Amino acid sequence: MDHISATPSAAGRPCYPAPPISYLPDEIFIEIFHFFTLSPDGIYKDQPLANATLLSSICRRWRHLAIQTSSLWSTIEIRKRCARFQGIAGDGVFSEAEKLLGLEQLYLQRSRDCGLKVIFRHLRDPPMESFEAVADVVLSAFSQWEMLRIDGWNCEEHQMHRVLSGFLDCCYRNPSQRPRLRSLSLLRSDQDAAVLEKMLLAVLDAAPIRSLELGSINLILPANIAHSLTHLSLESCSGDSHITPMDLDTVLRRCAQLQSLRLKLVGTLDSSQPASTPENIILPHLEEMRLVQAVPNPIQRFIYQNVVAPSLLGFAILVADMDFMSEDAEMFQMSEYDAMASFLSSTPSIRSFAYAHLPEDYLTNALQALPQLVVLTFGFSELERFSMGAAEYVRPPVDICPQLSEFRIDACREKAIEFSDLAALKYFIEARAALPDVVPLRALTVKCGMEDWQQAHGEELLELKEWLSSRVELVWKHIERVAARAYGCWVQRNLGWQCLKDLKQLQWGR
Amino acid sequence: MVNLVTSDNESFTVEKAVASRSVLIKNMLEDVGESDQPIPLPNVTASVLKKVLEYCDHHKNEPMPTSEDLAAEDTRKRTTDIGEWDQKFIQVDQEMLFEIILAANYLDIKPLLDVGCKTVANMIKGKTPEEIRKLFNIVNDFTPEEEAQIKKENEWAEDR
Repeated sequence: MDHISATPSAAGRPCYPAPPISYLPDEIFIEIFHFFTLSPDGIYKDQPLANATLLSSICRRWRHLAIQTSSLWSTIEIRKRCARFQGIAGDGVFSEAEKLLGLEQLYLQRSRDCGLKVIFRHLRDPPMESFEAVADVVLSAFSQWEMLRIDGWNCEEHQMHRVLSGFLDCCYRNPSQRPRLRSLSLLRSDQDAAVLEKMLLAVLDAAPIRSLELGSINLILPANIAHSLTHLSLESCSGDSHITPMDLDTVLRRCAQLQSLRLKLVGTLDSSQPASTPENIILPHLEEMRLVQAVPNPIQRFIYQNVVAPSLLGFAILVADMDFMSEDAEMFQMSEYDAMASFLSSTPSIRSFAYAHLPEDYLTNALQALPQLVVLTFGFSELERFSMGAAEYVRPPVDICPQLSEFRIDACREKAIEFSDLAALKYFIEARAALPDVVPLRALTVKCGMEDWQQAHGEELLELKEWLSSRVELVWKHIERVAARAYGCWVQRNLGWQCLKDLKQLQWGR
Repeated sequence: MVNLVTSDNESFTVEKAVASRSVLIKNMLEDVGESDQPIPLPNVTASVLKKVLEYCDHHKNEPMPTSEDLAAEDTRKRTTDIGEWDQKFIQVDQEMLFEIILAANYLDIKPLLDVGCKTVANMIKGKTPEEIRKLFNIVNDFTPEEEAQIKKENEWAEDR
């Protein structure tokens, strides 16, 4: 800081008659409250709802600010509480149903007119007590719902029907209160598909949905509904909800306003070639495409060959499974990755590329097709990382993507990355800095389970972190193993072992 | 170079690129054009400005957040992550932490304001109301009636 010259003076800091924090203005407190309520990295850490209640329990000023900030109270998550707290009642202690109803009413009251995010999960085995009463309370504010998520893995069929039919009933009975539900997420497991699809279509017809996430539901969206969608996410569409390339063709041709397309485990792991279409599917507003898919799969080959996305900024290929056993498998994988590279090279708008489980040669091909790339990410997002356990890190080549300024490693699973891979980042940064006409790496994010590294390479790890921090803007975050295990228990309980085995999930910590 | 004068009348001469991390100063420089006139900062003391300038100097080559970035933050991209350098930078006593936050707010340095707010949010995480009061030296000024209501609300929220 030798360019900064300061003239010291005797002036000290002001003396505080009150605690320093009390000098912060209200708007900064509210900003802090919002950061406080953001989800932590471990998605299944407890207490998402309790945050606002906690903030309102400190002092009168905090309570006033928290209660006045309606957005803090806008997420209503309906789920059973942990078993150890169930069934406690009497002598001034509330029953489970009383607690949930009390809290729901408190949140609804304090959210005032703020749009609500309503989430139903963990309601079965055994079915939640007083579900009807709880659903009625939330449905009383149906016109405030902006986002609705029903996790079918954890809901009884009648519970899903109750919420959807209740919402429709409220819409029909109160025509003056226009619903503002814009985001709908519906994940089916063992519920009857035909009944659910019928109700879903009615909801899509009644509400101005822009963002739609469907799990295990193959719904051919009517043109008027599809045309309004800006975000579409399809998940686990195989087996009885199998989506074919031609289904996708029909849907995508109707989704002209789409900004984000996410596919996760859609279609089947096979090598059949998708039928060619006479005209390309042009998605002029598409900015994000995220494929968490088995390879080979005709679904993504169909996309690579037929979709044109001139505004695409971010593309992710997170390979979920490559163990397809066939004599031709390798050839079809190769042809699929070649199609991907061709798609990438014909989409020069892409600035961000994410990969996982992508073989080294194909990663190189993909990056060579993206000379304009700015951000490169290895790994999965929070939810994806738990369902795709086997992604092994592949080092990106040094001499690619001259504009690359940010690299992110986001891999919670233990042993996804070897310490030697981490250490190689030093070489990557130094080697790129020495290359002509290459932008030096500016930012690096490392989010991993680091316990093993700390035990085996304590000093080295610290030195490496210091070195990296001195060269780039470093975000360095140890992701606790406990979060992954907690989620593992949840998946075990709800998906069952067979499903886990089939999908080759949950390989961390072994 | 730009000359900044603090509330306690100290003078700091810094590169324009450093001073311009503050949207307030950047706008002032654009308004007055080329000038040797010092820029008064009546709401910032020297000790705090020195710290703020250390931050601005470290981040001077980074792209300024655009209005699109700020809009995106309101939706999906917001995170509680804090960079390693920033974490070390913000390891100061509470008095200085809140002064930095106030200065970042006044000078309109959004990334620094975020670092400060995230740091305070992280300090609160995992703590009970009593621990939070103790941490920040906050007096529990609830009336008995309010205490009773809060107790009830907390029982509703228990284990959620």
